[in-house]
Amino acid sequence: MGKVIVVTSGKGGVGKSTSTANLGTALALLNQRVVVVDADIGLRNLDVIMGLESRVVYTSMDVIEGTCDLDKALVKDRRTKDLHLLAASQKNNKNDIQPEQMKKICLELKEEYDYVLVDSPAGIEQGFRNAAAGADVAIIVTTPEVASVRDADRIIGLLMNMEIDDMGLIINRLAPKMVESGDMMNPDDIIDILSINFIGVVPEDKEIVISTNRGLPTTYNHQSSAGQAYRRIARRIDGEDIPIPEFKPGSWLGNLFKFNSFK
Amino acid sequence: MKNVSHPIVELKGFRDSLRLIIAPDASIEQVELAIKKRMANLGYSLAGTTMNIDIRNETLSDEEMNRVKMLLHETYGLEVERLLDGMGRENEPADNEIHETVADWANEPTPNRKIRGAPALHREENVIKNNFLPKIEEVRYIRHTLRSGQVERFLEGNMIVLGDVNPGAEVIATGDIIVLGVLRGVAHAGALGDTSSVIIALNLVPTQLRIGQFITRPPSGRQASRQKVEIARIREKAIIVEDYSGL
Ligand SMILES: Nc1ncnc2c1ncn2[C@@H]1O[C@H](COP(=O)(O)OP(=O)(O)OP(=O)(O)O)[C@@H](O)[C@H]1O
Ligand SMILES: [Mg+2]
Repeated sequence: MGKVIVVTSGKGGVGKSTSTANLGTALALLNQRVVVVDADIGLRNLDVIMGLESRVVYTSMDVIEGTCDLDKALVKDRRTKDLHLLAASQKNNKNDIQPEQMKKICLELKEEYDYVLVDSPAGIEQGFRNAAAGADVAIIVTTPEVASVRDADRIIGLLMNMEIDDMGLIINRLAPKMVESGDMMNPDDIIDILSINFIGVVPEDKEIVISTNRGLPTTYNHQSSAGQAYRRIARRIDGEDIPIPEFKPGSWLGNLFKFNSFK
Repeated sequence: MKNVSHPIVELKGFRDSLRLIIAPDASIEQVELAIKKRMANLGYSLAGTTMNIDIRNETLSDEEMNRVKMLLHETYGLEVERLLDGMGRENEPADNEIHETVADWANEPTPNRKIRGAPALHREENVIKNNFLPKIEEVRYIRHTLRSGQVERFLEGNMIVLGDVNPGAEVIATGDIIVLGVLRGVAHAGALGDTSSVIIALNLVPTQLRIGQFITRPPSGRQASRQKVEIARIREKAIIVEDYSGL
């Protein structure tokens, strides 16, 4: 029996889909059986980031409507063993699906797979509730910005009310120079406010944009600092004891370099 | 008004909502005036709070009651929910009378109340002496961190939070607020006008503080990790924040 992990944030555009694609890929590269589920109904883009767009035939909507079996709706990623995608329908919208239906799909998938990663849409409404419905664990993605942290905090409260207490925090798009100059929130302060299990930092990296356009997750790129970060986070998710950088006031920058030196 | 033993309107807190009690024989003009007077110092600060109106009043017509509801909703942002018929009070705990929640405003004498056998206290006087006795009241404990978007109201006493109050979260009490953690959001003590109320936090870096009708914001650049307990209270018509070393 596998684990269902919802990747969520509250605020839009902070890197949920990027994180889902990269962590899914990285977990599959660790020989785990993985399926990534796009729960952003109406605005699907996980298939694009994964480079699988042209191979999508069925979506989760077809499974819910009974037009197609769950197995048949999964797109197999040919680059990596045991990596699959369940795409979202673009014709429908978030209210066309119910949390119970999403939960049923997740329960069925975790019978077969080690990790079911669900890419949540932005917001705190029905779309988020659908995405989180079947989750055992939540990964909260935030950028080092006040508004993003605020929304992440909101989402954490909602997840707790849904009794999803197992949560991990990813700080995405960190630019060390900007933190140093005081123009970006310090990771320590973010961790302090959100006070959930911190599982890693992904630096700002232009490789993300390049790889998204190519449909090849950054995780495959051993030169990319973001790709390396995602691979380390995947190992942490998979239970490996990889040291997490400590951000002590004044010394956290040095520690970040230490963190990067795990490459 | 014949019956002088009842104020025309009385504002009480009941858990997280407010109750407006209207005297039996008051006219609409008297009621509207009394509401405006009572709310004058509270302004919009109670917006969003649920209010139940307790009508013992039989002189107000339905239309006049609607005028009262409109006034409360549109001027003060209160969510008027139920109209109790005065009988509703039977369901409250028998000791309800001890919940002194309405502060003594300068020209608004409040009837003397017995507080669990102890002499009635005027906290205001005690503030001046800087030595007030604990108010015998209810306390609400919140044993977790309040996160963005969460609001906790306790309108019949003091509040203690065993956790943080994060940015975007809000705590509101009619008495004191004590945060055994970091207060980063908004805290509103003395929400019904009791300006002797205080706000204490292990780490006070709020978005905004309110005590009664007074509001303050911390100076920009206040450090999050101050590592000392601070107290906010009213001194000479302003909220001041200082190191805590007892009341
Ligand atoms: N670490 C990073 N460095 C640079 N760019 C990044 C990084 N992470 C994400 N981005 C860029 O930010 C944009 C938003 O990312 P993404 O689509 O993953 O966010 P999202 O949270 O899924 O958005 P939505 O809420 O719209 O679903 C994309 O253009 C992506 O390439
Ligand atoms: Mg997305």
